[in-house]
Amino acid sequence: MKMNAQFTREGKGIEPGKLRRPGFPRYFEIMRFEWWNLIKLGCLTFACCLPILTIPAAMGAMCVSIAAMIADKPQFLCHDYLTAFRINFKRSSCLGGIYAPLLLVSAAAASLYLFFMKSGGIIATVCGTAMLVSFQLILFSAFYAFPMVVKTDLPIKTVIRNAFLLVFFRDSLVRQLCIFCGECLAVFLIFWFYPYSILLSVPFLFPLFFLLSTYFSWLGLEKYVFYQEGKSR
Amino acid sequence: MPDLFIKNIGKVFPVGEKKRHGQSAGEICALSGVNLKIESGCFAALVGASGCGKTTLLRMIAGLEHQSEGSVFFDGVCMNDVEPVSRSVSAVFQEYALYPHLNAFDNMAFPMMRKKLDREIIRKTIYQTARSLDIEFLLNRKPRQMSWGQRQRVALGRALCANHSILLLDEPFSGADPNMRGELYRLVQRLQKERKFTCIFATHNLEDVFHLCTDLILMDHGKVLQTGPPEQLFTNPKDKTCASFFANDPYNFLPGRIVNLPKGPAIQVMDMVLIPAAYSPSALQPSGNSIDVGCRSSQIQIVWEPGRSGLRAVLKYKELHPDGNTLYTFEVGQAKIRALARETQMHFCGARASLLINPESVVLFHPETGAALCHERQLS
Repeated sequence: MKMNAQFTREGKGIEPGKLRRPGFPRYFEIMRFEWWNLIKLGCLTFACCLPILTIPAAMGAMCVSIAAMIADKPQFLCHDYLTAFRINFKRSSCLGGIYAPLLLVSAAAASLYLFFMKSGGIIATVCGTAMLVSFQLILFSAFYAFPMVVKTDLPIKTVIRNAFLLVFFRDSLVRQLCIFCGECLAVFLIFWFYPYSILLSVPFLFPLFFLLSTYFSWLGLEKYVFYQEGKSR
Repeated sequence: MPDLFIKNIGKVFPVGEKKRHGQSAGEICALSGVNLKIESGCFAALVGASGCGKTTLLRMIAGLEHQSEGSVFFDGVCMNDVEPVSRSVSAVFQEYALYPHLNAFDNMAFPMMRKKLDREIIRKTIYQTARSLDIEFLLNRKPRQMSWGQRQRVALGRALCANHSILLLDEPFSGADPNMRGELYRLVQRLQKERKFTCIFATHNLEDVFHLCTDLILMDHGKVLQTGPPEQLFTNPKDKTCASFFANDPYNFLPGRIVNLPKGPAIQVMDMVLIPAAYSPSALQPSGNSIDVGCRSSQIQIVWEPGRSGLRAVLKYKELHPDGNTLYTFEVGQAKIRALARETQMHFCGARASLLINPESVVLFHPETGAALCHERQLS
C-alpha cells in the first residue's frame, strides 16, 4: 500500500456497461445461465424439423428464442417458440426456399470438384475451393438472414441483400473462422461418434452451434440493421 | 370479496425434545382465544412486539399452519380443511420464499401458470406489476443474484400478480430503505383500493402503517388486545399496554388520587388538580381512591418561565425526533414526564419549567389492572 495514497479523493470507479462482457465471455455466460433452455430449445427445434418442409420456420423460431436469451429477456420458451414458429412460418419458409437450393447446389458442386481434385486437375482444385468458399458465404449470410427475417418487417429481397452486404463488408474474419471451426467440430463429432452422436447432437450441438452463429450475427444486426431501419419487432 | 372471520383460534407449539410415546416435554401457547372480523376490502394492520403471534396468525389464515383450536371462515365458509392453494390467499413473508431455481419472471408467473391463464396475459400482468414495483431490470435474475430488498419486492410482485382476494404481508419491506418502504406501502394501498382486495399487514413498526390502515389490531402474548380504527386506538387505548404502543408520541402514566372539590370530583396529580372533562362525575368515585393518569407527550404544554400553575419540572434530557419535534424528559419529584414540542428556543439540561396537562385528553387507568376507566364514555 502506498503511504502517500489519497483516501479522500474519489477513485476511478467502474465505467457503466463495463461489467457486461462482450464477445466470447458473454457467449459462455449465456451458455452457463441458459443451458437448460438451450437443451429444451434443441429438442423443440428437432421436433419441429421432422416434417422437413418446416425446417426454415423452425430455424426462424430458434433465432427468436436465442435473440431473447442474448437480450437477457425472460420468456416462456415453448409458448414463445411455437408462437414465433406460427407467425413467421411464411416468411421463414420463403427464405428457406431461396437458401436451401443455393446451399445444396454449392455443396454438391464443391463435393463434385473435390472428387475430381483427386485426379490432380488444377481447374478442379480452383473450382472446388471457390465452391467451398461460396457455400460458406451463403451459409454465413443465412445466419444473418434468419434473425433479420423474424425480427424485422423488411421484404425478403432486402433481407437477402442486407445479409450478403453484412457478410462481405461488415463481417470479421475472426467471426467467420470461429463459426467455421464450430461447424467443423460439430461435423467431426457427429461422424466420430456416429450413431450415438445423433442423440447428443439434438439437445447439445444444434443449439450451441445456433447460439454461436446467432450471437455473433446479432451484434452486426444490432449495429447496422435494427438501428438504421428502426423496424425491429 | 370475502369477509374474514377468525373464531376462537388458538395455537400451541411443542418445545423441547420429545419424550417417549411422542409426548412433548413442554408447550408454548402462541395464540389463545383470538376472535377477529376483518371486512372485505379493508387494510388491516396487525401490530405487536416480536413473538406476539402475528406471523402464526397470518400463517393460519393462509392455511400454512393448523390451528390447535378454533376456525377460520372466509365469507361464512369454514376453511379449516381447505388446502392453502384453494384459499385465494396470497402471502408475502419476511423470508420472501421465492423459488431459488427460477428467475424473477418465472417466480411471478408461477401462480398464474397454475391457474392456466393465457401466456400473453401473464406476460402483460408481470410487466405491469414489475414496472410499478421498479423491478423490470430484475426479471431475468435468480433470487441469489438480488439483494434482500429486491427479493422482497419480487415476492410482493408475485403476490400482486396472483390477484387473490386476500393479501397477507408479514413485514415484507423490512429489507427496503425508508424511502422505498414508504413508496411500497403507498403502492400497496393504491392497488388495494383499485382491486379492492383485503390486505392484512403484520408489522411491529406502527408508525409505518398508521396512516395507511383502516383497521388496527394490537396483539400481545398471543392475544388480541384491541381492534379498531387507528385514531380510536390512539385516543382511546383499552389499557396501559395498548397506550404504550405508539412510541412516537409516548404516554406518561402519573400516579393520582380522586378528590372531591366544591365543583365536583377531580383528580389530584402531585400538586396539580385536574378535572377530566371526558369523564362523568359518577366515574370518579369513591373519593380518596388512587388512580393512574395517562397523558400523551404531545398533550403536555411546557411553560419555560415557571409560574404557580402546573407541575414544576426540571429538564433532564432531550432528543430530537425525525419529524422536527423534540422529546423532553422532565423530572417532577420522583416521577419522569415526557413532553413533545417544537424547540423554538435552546434549553439546556437543568432548565426549569411548568408542565400543563390538557385535561381534555387524559385517560384514567386502574392502578393495579392497568385497564382504562370508562373509555366508552370518553369515545362518545
